[in-house]
Amino acid sequence: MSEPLSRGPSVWRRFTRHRAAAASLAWFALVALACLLAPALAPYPFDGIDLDSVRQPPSPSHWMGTDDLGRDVLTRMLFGGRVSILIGILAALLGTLLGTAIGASAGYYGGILDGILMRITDVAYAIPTLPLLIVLSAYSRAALPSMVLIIGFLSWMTTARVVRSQVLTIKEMDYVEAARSMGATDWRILSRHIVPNALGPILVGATLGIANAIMIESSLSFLGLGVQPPIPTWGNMLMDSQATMATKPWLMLFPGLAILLIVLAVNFMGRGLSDALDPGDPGLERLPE
Amino acid sequence: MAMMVQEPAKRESSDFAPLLAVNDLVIRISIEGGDSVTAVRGISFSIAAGESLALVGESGCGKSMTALSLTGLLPRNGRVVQGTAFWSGRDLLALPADALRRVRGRDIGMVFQDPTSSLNPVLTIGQQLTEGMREHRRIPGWARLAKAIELLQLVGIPDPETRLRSYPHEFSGGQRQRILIAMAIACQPRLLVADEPTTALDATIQAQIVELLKGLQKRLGMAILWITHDLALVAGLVDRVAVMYAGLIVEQAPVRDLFNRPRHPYTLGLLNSMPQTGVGLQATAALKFIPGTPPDLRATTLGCSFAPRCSMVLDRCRTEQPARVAVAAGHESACFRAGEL
Repeated sequence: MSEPLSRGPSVWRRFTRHRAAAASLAWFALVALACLLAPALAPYPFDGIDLDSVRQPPSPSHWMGTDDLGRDVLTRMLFGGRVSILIGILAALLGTLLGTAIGASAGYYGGILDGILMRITDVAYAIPTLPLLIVLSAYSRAALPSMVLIIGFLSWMTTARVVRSQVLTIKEMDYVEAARSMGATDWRILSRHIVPNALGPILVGATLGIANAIMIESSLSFLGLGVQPPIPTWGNMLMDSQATMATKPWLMLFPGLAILLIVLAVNFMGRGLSDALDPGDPGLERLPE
Repeated sequence: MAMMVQEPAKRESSDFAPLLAVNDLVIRISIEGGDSVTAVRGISFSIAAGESLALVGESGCGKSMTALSLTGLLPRNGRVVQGTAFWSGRDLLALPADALRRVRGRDIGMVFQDPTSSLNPVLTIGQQLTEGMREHRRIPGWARLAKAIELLQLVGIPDPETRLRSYPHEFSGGQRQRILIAMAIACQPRLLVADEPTTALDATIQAQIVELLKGLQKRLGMAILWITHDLALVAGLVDRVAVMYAGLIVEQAPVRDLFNRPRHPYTLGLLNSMPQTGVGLQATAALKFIPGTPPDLRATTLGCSFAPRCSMVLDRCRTEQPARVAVAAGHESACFRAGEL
C-alpha cells in the first residue's frame, strides 16, 4: 500500500512531545531489553541455589539481595520480567483484539447480532475468574502459551463493551455517512473510519489489560497454577515474599516496584498514544484554528 | 436539430433519455410509538445527463429523504414503500445492497450539508480523497495520489501536494466543502447529489462553492441534483426546479418559467418571501411570509396539503388532491387554479 499519506511520522512526533509518555517508552524499552538479554546480563543462573547465603540484603555481590534459597534476586528479576512482560503484552493484545472485534461488530451491525454478542459478553463477565482458572489449569500445562490464551480469553469483555458504545456513537457521524456515500464497504467503514476514531479508549483498555494480565499471572503463580517454579516471574516472586515482608523487605520491594513501574509506564504510553492519535487535539503543540 | 418535429411536451421525461427517472416514490419513516409518517408521498421526476435539477422545499418536506433513498442511505427508520428509480436500465430502489454500494461514489456522488463533520478527523485529506478510488477503481497507489492532487487542483485547493498530508481541522469550512466535493467527484460520477452543500457556510463562501459546482458540472458533464430550501440560490444555477411541499412535488418547471410565472400558490409564496436586494433598494416593504405551518404528516390529509395555508383555496381543494398536470411546455403544477396564476 502507498503509505506516504499515513500519519505515522506525525503521530510519533506528537507522542514524543508527551514527556511522561516518552519517558515511559524509554523505561519500558530499557526494562524489556534488559530482560531480553537476561542470559547475558544476569550475574548468576536464575535457579542457582546457594544455601550459604540465603536472605541476604542488597550488597555489591547481590545488588538486590538473595531469596529464601540463596538465589540472586537481580537475576531472577531479569528472567522473571521476560515472562511477566511477555504474558502481559500478548494476553492484553489477544483480549483487546477479541474485545474490539466483538464490540465493533455488535455496535455496528446491531439487531440480533448485537443481542447475541452482548449476552455472550454478559455471560463471560458473570463467570467467576478464579474457579474457572483452577479448572482450566487442571486440563492444561501451565506453560506460557496457555497462560496467554487463558488470560486473553478472560479479559476481553470490558473492551467489548467500551468499543460497542463508542461504535454506537461514531457510526452515526456524518463522515461515516459520507464514506458510505462513497461506496465504502462495511469492512472499510469499520476499519478505517470507526475503529480508528475509537482508538483512544481501546488503547487505554489495552494498557490496563497489560497491567491486569501481569496481576492475573501473579495470582495464578501464587495458587501454584501459573508459571511453575523454578521459572521466576515478577508475580510469583512477589507472592513468595509475602511471608517475610516485614523482615526481608527487599524480596517484596523489587518485584513489587517493577510491576508498579511497568504498569505505570504502560499506562502513560497509552495516554500519550491516544493523544498523539487524535490530530484534532492540540495536545502540547497549540494549533491555531 | 431545430428542424425536428417537436412533440407536444406532455412530460419532460419523454423529451430525452433520462439519466435517472424516479417514478411514484413513497417513503415512510417510522417514529416513536409505532407511528409512521409518510415523508414522501409519491413523487416523480427525472434528470437528463448533464442537466441540473433543484429540489426545493422547506425542511421536512422530504427532499433530503428523496435524495438519500436513491442510493440506499435512508436512516434506519426510513423505508421506501413504493416506486421505482431507473438508472441505466436498473431500478436503484430494488438493487441488492452490494450492487447499490457499487453505484454509490462511482455513478452517483454525494455532497452533504456540514463539511466539518463529514470529514473523518483522524484521516488525512489524501487518505479520504483516495478512498472512493480504492473501492471502485483498480489503479495503483501512485496513480491514486496523482488523481488526488489533480482533484484538489480542480476544486481550487492551493498547494495540493503538501495539503494531501493535512488533516481536516487544518482547513477552513469553505476548503473542507471543496474537499468533500473533490471526494464526491473522484470517480467521475454521472450524477452529483448536492444536499444543501452551502447551508453551513458564510454567504461569500456559498457563492464560491456554487460557482465551483457550476464550473465542475460544465467541465465534467455531470448532472447535478440540488437539494435546497433556498430558491434564490438556484435561480442562476439550475436548468429546472421541482418545488416540494409536504412530501409532494407541487410544481416543476424550467427555472426561468418558474421565476417568471409560478403556477402554484406555494411557489408564489416562496418567491414573495425572498428578500429583495439590490443597490438603492430601500427595505420598505415588510417581508411577506406564508401564514401557517406545514401539515402534520402523521395525519392522512384529504385534499391538497397546502389548502390550509393557501390564499386561493377553493372548497374542492379540501376534499380532492389536485393532480400534477402540464400547464405549459415543461411546466407542471398540482393546483386546480394553476390556469389563473
